[in-house]
This record gives sequence, C-alpha cells and structure tokens, in this order.
Amino acid sequence: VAEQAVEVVRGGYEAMARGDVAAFLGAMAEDIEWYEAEGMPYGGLHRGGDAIAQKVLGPVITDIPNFAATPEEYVASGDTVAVVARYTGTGKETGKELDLPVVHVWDVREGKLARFRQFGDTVKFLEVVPAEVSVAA
Amino acid sequence: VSLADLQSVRRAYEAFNRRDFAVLDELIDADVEWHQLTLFPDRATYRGIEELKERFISTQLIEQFGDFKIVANEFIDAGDWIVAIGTVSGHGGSSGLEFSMRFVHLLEMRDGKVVRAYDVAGRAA
Repeated sequence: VAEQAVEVVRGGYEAMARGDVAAFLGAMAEDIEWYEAEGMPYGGLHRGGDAIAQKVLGPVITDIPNFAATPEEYVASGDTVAVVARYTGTGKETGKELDLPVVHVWDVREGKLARFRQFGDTVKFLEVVPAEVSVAA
Repeated sequence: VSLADLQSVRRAYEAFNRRDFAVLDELIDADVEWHQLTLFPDRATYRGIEELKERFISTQLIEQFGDFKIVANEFIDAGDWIVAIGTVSGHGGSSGLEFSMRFVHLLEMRDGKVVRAYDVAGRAA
C-alpha cells in the first residue's frame, strides 16, 4: 500500500514540475482537503481541485513565476506519505529568492490524493511574497 | 524558533535514548497535543504530557520495543515549527525482529516548549 501511495504522491510533484496542472488536479480526489499553512498568502483549508487551482496553485505561479517544489525525501506508511521538500523561485514583486524547506503530509485514498497538510516557515515565505502584494490578497 | 529551542530539542532526543525523561518534562508543554499520523506504533492522538508519557512513550514504545532508539540527524527551523528528520530503530517486543524506519517530526514551539506535534514514521521511499 505504501509503495502505491508514494507513486501517487510522486506523480503529483512530477506533474507540477513539468507544468502539467491538469495532471496534478487529476490525481486529486474530488473532495480533497488541502490545508495550506496559516500565515501563507494562500493559507487555510481549500476543498476540491477547483478551489486549490484558483486559491493556491494559480496565485503561487503568478506570485513566483518560476516556482518549484522539489521533493527531497519520502517517508511512507500505509496511505500516509510525508515529503520533505524545498520551495524555490523568485518573487515577482520583490525580486527576492525563495529557498525554503517544507514538509507536506499527504493522505492517499483509493489511489487519489485525499488530503494535503503543509508545514513550513511562513514568515520566510512572506519576505519573498508579502501578503499585500500577493494576487491572493 | 530560537537557537536555544533547536538545541533543547536536539538534547531531548539524546535524553530519550538514555531514558532520561526529566528532559521531556522540561521541553514538552503540559497540554501538548501529539498526533501520531502513521501506524507505527499506533495511529492516535495523545493529549497532555502525562498521557503522552504513560500511553505512548512507556506503553507503546518502551514496553514493546525495549531498545527503541531515535536518532534525529537533521533539524530544520520552520518558523514556529521545528522539523526533525531521522531514523527510529529497535527490536520488536514479541517477534524480536530488528526494524529501522525513517521519521519526520513536526514540533510546534511556544515559549520554548512543544505544544503540538505531528509524527510520521515509515519506510524511506
């Protein structure tokens, strides 16, 4: 089970890395719960792929056009996969470089991404994308 | 988090391996919420340091896996959170089989104490 869950999660990062948002959204369960860390410009709970695309993915790519989330380690147990990842990119408004370690905890259900929880230093992110300049504001 | 927070978390892992639990009392808030997100040793939420020590540390870890050891080899300062990454290992209490797993601990710090934690342990993949 853990191996399958990792492949679903890995597929999501790979889709985003090649800019294939549709494939990433397609890997999500219809009722996916996406907990973006409070304190991020996109913070809070978002339900479903449409909300995630409009409230998180779209704004992130606008705020940081060369944004990348690169997985560095996967830890998997059953349907739960923790990913230690690194966010990089350049803030469009500030010109500042982002280089931020984060942890994502994913739950996979019936082969689909069912829940996402993000942990990271939101203050450092805000230095690159201040909340007031984010398109999510 | 402060450098002092990072250092005291690092010391707490070392103290755990010596079974010196006094250090845990100093570092963990009395009202801690500890969320075990994966099946090892049991998917559960422990509330308060007494429950954490009695039900989780003593019963789930020490009694089942007597030589249970936890080595954190990376600490990340993530704002209000410390992320500790490393390896847990030991011998299964009944089977005696040796095991080794990767873990990720997310520790939310307030006033120098852990107030909330998420614990993920599993296979490196």
